[in-house]
Amino acid sequence: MVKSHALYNDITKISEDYFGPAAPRFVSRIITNHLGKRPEDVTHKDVPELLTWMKLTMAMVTDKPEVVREFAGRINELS
Amino acid sequence: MLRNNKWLVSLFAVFIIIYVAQSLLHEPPHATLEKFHITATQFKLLLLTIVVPYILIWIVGLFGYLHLKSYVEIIRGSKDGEAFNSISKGVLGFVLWLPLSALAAAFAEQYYTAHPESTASLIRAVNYFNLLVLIPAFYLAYRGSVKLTALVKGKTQALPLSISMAYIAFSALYVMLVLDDPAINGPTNTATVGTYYQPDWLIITTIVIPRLLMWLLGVRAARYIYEYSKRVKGMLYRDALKHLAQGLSGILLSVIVLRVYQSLSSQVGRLSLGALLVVIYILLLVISIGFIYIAKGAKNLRKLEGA
Repeated sequence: MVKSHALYNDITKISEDYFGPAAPRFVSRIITNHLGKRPEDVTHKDVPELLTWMKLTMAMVTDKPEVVREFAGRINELS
Repeated sequence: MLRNNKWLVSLFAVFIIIYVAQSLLHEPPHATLEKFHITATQFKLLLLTIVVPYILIWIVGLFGYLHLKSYVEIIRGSKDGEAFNSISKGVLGFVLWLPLSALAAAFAEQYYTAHPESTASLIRAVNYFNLLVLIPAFYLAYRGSVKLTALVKGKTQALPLSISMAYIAFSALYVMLVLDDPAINGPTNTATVGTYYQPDWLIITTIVIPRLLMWLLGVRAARYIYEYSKRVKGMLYRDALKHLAQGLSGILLSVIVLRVYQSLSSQVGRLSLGALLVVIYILLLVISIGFIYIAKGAKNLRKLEGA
């Protein structure tokens, strides 16, 4: 449980570099809405699916594919 | 978004109907028709080419505000929520000022054309009315920007020396422009009405100084939001914020340009009809830029929140 919470924090920390103060809300929203879990319950197994949703959402916000790729690469390292 | 703000959307619909009706039903002044050698119908058609784009700017402004308000509702309760709430209220002030100032000026003109003895009082009332709407708008935007800078590490710099010096120079020039206006207290050959109808000391103390202070708040607000957008984490968030800062700068610029235009009314009155229309279209373009950027920034901020 403690480990999972740490994973959520790691994902949020990386997301902050792209979403700033919106990052905690962004990560929590995707985990809750698309994985149907509480944010602190996310596990390493969830990362690939989480990443798919995150990339989709991010692509709607930016027209810079290199930013999406860089973000995806960093999140992927957590799985 | 529109459903949740029915009262505001309805209010704007009423403003638009009144403004269009007022523009089309009001008899054009004979002096203007003679000056430009046009008929009343031609005058009204030309007026429509100004009224329609101006109303479109109101609508863009309204949508910009609604996007920002919707973003504020999403982030309510977060650290930056309170700051953006104050900024969005300021933007609402600017958005309301567009139709309110246009309607106030149009109705005042209609009334003093029929009752020339009331011209001075109505011009004075319209000048103060504009200040009363804009001062809270600038203050709220400034207060929100100060709250934003408190959220990032490091001390926020006051205005850089270059901007402060430029503002002081501009202020002196603006005072000169106001006092040098041939139509300051009455009509001239080229201006059908005066600009202030007040003694110089009263114009300076109750209109010019409040305007300059209010604009300074606007300069600082735009600067603080820009500073915040540079220092806050999140490259996508920063991009959206930059548009918001540019939007506020654009609104500030348009308010200043409109006031300078007011002081140059006598000189502008000498222009041919074609040149005058070009000046008016440029003014409309300047006004629209700020609101377009606010709408763009707010829309991107909402997208970050998945809305």
